[in-house]
Amino acid sequence: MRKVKNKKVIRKLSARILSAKRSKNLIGLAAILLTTILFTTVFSVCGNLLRSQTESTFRQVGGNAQAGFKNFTMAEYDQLKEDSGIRDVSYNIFVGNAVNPQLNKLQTEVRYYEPLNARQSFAYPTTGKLPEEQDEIAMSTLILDALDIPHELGQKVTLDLNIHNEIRTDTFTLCGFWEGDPVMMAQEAAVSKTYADLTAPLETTPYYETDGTDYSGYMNISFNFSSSFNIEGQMEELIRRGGFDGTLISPSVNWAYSFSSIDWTTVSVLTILILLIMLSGYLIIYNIFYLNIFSDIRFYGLLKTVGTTGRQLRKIVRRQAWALCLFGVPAGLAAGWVIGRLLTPVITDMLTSTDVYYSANPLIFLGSALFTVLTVYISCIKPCRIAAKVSPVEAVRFTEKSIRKKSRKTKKTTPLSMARANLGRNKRKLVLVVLSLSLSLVLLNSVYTIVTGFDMDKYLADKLLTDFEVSSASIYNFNSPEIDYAGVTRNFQEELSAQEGVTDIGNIYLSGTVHNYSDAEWETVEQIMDAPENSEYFSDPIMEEAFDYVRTSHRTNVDIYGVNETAAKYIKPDEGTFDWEKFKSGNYILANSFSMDDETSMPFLKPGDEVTVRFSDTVSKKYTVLAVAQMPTALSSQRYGLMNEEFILPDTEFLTQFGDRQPMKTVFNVSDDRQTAVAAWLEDYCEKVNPDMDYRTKADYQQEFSSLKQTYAVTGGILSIILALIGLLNFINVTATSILSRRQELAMMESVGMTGAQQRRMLLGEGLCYALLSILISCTAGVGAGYALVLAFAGQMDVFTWRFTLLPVAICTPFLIAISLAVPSVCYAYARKQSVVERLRTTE
Amino acid sequence: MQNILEAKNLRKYYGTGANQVRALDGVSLSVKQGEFVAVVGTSGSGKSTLLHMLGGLDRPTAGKVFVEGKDIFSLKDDALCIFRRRKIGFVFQSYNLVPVLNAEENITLPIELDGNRIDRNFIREIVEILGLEQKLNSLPGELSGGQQQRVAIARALATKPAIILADEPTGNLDSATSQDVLSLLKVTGDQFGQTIVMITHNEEIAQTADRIIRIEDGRIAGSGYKGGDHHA
Amino acid sequence: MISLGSKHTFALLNRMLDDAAAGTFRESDYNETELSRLESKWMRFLSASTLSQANLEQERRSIQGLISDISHQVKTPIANLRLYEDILEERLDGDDRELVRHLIRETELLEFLIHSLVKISRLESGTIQLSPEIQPLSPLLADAQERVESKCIKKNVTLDSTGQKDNIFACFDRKWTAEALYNILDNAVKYTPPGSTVTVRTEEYPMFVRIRIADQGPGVTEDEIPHLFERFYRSPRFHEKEGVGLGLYLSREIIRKEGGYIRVCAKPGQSSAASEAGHGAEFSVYLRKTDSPVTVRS
Repeated sequence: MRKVKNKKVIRKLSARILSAKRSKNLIGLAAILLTTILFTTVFSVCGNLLRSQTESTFRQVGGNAQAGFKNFTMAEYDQLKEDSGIRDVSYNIFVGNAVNPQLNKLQTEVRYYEPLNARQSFAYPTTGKLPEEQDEIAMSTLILDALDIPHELGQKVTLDLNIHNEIRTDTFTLCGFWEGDPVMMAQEAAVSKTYADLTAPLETTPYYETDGTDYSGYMNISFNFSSSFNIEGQMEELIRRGGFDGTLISPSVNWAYSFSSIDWTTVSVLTILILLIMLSGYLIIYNIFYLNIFSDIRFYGLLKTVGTTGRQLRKIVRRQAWALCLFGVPAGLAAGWVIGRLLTPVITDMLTSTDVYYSANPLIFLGSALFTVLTVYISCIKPCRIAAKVSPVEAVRFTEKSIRKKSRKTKKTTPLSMARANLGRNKRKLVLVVLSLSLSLVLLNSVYTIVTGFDMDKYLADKLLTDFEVSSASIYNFNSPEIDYAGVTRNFQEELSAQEGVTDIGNIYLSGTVHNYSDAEWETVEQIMDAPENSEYFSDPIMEEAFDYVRTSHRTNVDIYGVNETAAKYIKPDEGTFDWEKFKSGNYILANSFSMDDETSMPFLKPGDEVTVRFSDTVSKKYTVLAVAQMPTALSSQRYGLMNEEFILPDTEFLTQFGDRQPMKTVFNVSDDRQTAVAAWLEDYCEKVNPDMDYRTKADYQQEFSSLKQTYAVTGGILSIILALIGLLNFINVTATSILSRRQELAMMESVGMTGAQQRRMLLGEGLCYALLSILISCTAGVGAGYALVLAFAGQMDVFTWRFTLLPVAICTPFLIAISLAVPSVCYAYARKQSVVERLRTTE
Repeated sequence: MQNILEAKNLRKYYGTGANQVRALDGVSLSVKQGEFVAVVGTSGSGKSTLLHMLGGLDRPTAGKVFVEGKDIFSLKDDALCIFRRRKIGFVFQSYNLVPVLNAEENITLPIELDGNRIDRNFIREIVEILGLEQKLNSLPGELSGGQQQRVAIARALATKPAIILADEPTGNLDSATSQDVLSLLKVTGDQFGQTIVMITHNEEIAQTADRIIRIEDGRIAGSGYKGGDHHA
Repeated sequence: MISLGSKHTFALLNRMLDDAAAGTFRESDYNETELSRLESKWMRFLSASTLSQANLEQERRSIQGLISDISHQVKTPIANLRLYEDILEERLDGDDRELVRHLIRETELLEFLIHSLVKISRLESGTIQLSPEIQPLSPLLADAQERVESKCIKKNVTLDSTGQKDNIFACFDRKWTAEALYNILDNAVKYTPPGSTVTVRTEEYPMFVRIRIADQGPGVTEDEIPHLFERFYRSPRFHEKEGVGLGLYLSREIIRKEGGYIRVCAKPGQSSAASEAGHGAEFSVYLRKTDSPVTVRS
């Protein structure tokens, strides 16, 4: 049946009611605004982070295409490019590496790029153009800097090129350049097709049929699929369709597109955050609407008398809510996005050391608008029902809904006892306010706990154990082609000892060898390899061949460390006692355990076992295992052998067996007064005297650490401030509404003889009760909740130690109490503006 | 002529046991179409409760009310609401105008809630009779008590209801304005053939009506008919 | 017409009903559609229906026409009756004369009745239109009082009109309202005991003017109030009094047509239940102060 056309009047009523109670609306508006801001901030930060991460991955990978093939021939390329699943495809041809001496720290590749490929590989000139003539070249500015060539078009660039394993030197004219990205694994220079054809003509033999040492003349293909869904799957299909053999060609899928970078911790954190915001938003908004309904109940009763049905009343209430949303949500979206922009750099700093990219993905805004609207909708349900069910007689007579107690023993009536009784009138209101206040207190406390729980020592534990550490620059540089494990020069060691204030010099040497397992050893090793908790490691298909070899040959590569007495101090044995006196005799050795995580570890050998270590084809020696221990991460090489097995010998024994060599790493402490001086000397040495060496200081890490701390502090701080604001707003709203709606009742009491001062005391008492209850809850149940919260956020971090503290709550207490007294005070003063008689009249 | 309003054995009890309050204790009455009836009683006599029952504002503990032959309490809440919107006009002691709508909007509110086309001529007529031409755009806050009550009367008349129920319509007004309001009620009832049931505690005011029914302690006491039958 | 959606249909039906209520319904078109069939049926129903306003009007008019005709016809025989009665009165004496005097009185009554009937019928049929104007009240009261003066003197009833204010204006038709007031005054004088006072007061309210006429007669009981203004009503207590029972009815109709009303109650300060004891009755005539659209719907 067609409904009667009464939309217009409903709309009119809603609009009028809304514009009539301006001040009340502001509070509701503020609540919606805040909720939207919270959502938007969270979402936009996430969006930004995601974008940043994606972008930085692109740069690390070297391109933003979805997938590609390496080392293709033209024939293979032709086979590929007609495929229907591909949206666009392009290639570059590898010509050779530039091996100028100035470039030995900077891997430089020379290629011919198709324009599209150049763009996708971040090798498109921002100034100038791609080369066309044989002598033209375009390159990244980092290469230019290394060669000391100014960034000007027309400059002459001479490169020593390793093409087909032969060096040739050519001079080019710079025709274009772009900003080099230090993050990328290799820097690129682009040459013309002519030059490429000349020096590295396209090969026709498939790459997998060569010995795999010469890339020149082969093409790297990158392409995008028509759909970005399940790129890996599409890749497999493509390979199958093209008739390629997946094992021979080198397919690569840009892992920036794979969403495995989103781990479950992040997702769960995000979900918790969303739920938290929804909950607080709901609490506030629901409370506000709920209270407003009651203050308007007479009005709705009146409307009912005139003939408005319950359903129409529901619509009116909802429309008001939507109207508030209309104003609050867009403003909140804008504000939230701005805050998100401001917050993101701070957070990015902490999570990944990448550049910040901003995302303006409409999903962000849609999502937060949706969630906010959802929260508003849910908050409306109960108030709507109340409005709908109002009895029209309410319009004629009204009292605040009081819970009908059975009876009451006569007690002495004081303002405070009345206050307590009043609180019990509306249990729901009480619970709501106290809950939201406690929530913010708990959150504040948690944030504080997290921030103060950051343990510098823990942070450093696997990074740096001393004030300074020095080793070859190649160890610190991921991009180095070759890592020097014996890079601390004699010269340096001499100069170091000469420095004043330097103490505790520890030297760590590293070498490796092939180790044959004895039968006894093999038993243990086999157990380790077959253990179910280690299965993930040992069933990795990439290493399958290698592990099979170990099983069949009982042989593997191991690392052997040499430590001097000072360095040895940092080694903490898992089993057995580490006695340096015994150790330095040279008959003893330390062996480690296999462990995939911090939980389980299975030692390869036990103290007292004998093991034979092979130093060369001819030399082996038998040692007794003194203790089970491993090199502390901060001192180790951070390279991992197949079995992660390592041995430790005293330095004297080490050098005897392996011959004289330089330490891999030298660590030392410096007395406080000499810290800056030594740091300066170190910097100078590693920059000017021997640029092949590099160093790390505690100060570096300290800085990293404090910025990490700061991030959490800022983020958490902002969140708690917002929530505190919300809780406060809630409190103000509740108090104000309750006092104002009891105007008539208060006037009645005054006419009976209760003085203003007494009433004030009663109202203030109520406010105080709210505050005290909130504090009480925060200190009891709140501690438990806070603990859970803190653990969820920071428990996973190694750097975090939980320390019980209620300091923030204590600090907030006086403020809370002050506010809980001030607000009712002000409201009551306002309510008292009219005379008793006026207030007794039942007009609105 | 049919009885446009009939109440049969209305009872309204509050509470139980010794504390039970019997607001209405078996009230029956009937009103013919076009009559102007006054229900007179002291405060606490149950007259307000009776009015609420007659208008479907409240449900009785027992008994029925028939308006135009329809048992109104057989209707569900929303249906009763719509019934009330179309069939009953209320005039309250405290005017009860919607504060956010102006006078004209207040008058047409029930019609608009029903989604009906407003018969502008009819409304204009009512407004002229009630002397409200100048005040149509004013908000209730700007009107005097008497003017507000007139707007309330206009609103009650606007839907051409079966009955108009007036609860102490002059209770909040001074005597001069009361006379006016009463007169207007009578006159408009006459002009439009409207049935009016008014409750009051004031004898003088009750005299304006065609018929007086007295109520005491929740029961009808005496009636305006000959024969002294307690059925009013 | 093209087939209509339901929204359109309901709108049309609504309009049909509104027009019917206003009496302005006309069929829009004659064709084969459902709508047209409906319209025609509706029209047929309205025409035949006894609720149709036009029909009602017609009926009333015919009745009133009948009354008018009859009363008109009756005038001549009555005039003749009077003529012969006068002649008889002159010629006869003693008991016979007394008898004739009875005849004359009855005839006068008859005449009065007919006149009243004519007035009423003309009034109700709208043959006579009232033309209310805003004018001062005092002349109106003076008119009515003048007419009743002789009866007052004869019965020794004092007419106390000191409670009148000057400068009160109201909206009324002077001639007819004077007639209405006269009827009420006449009533008061008739029932008030000899030697008593009939008071006339005026009061002004923002929108109405009230004329209060109080007597000291036996008053009215609560039971009687609803019936007082009915046609031909005579209180069972007062059979012997003369009068037909039309005066008050006429008065009420006149005042109603002007947008006012008449109310009867016991003297202020007393409930009408106490009026048994004979403290008198008070009639209040309310007149509007401003013009009002007057359309009496019966």
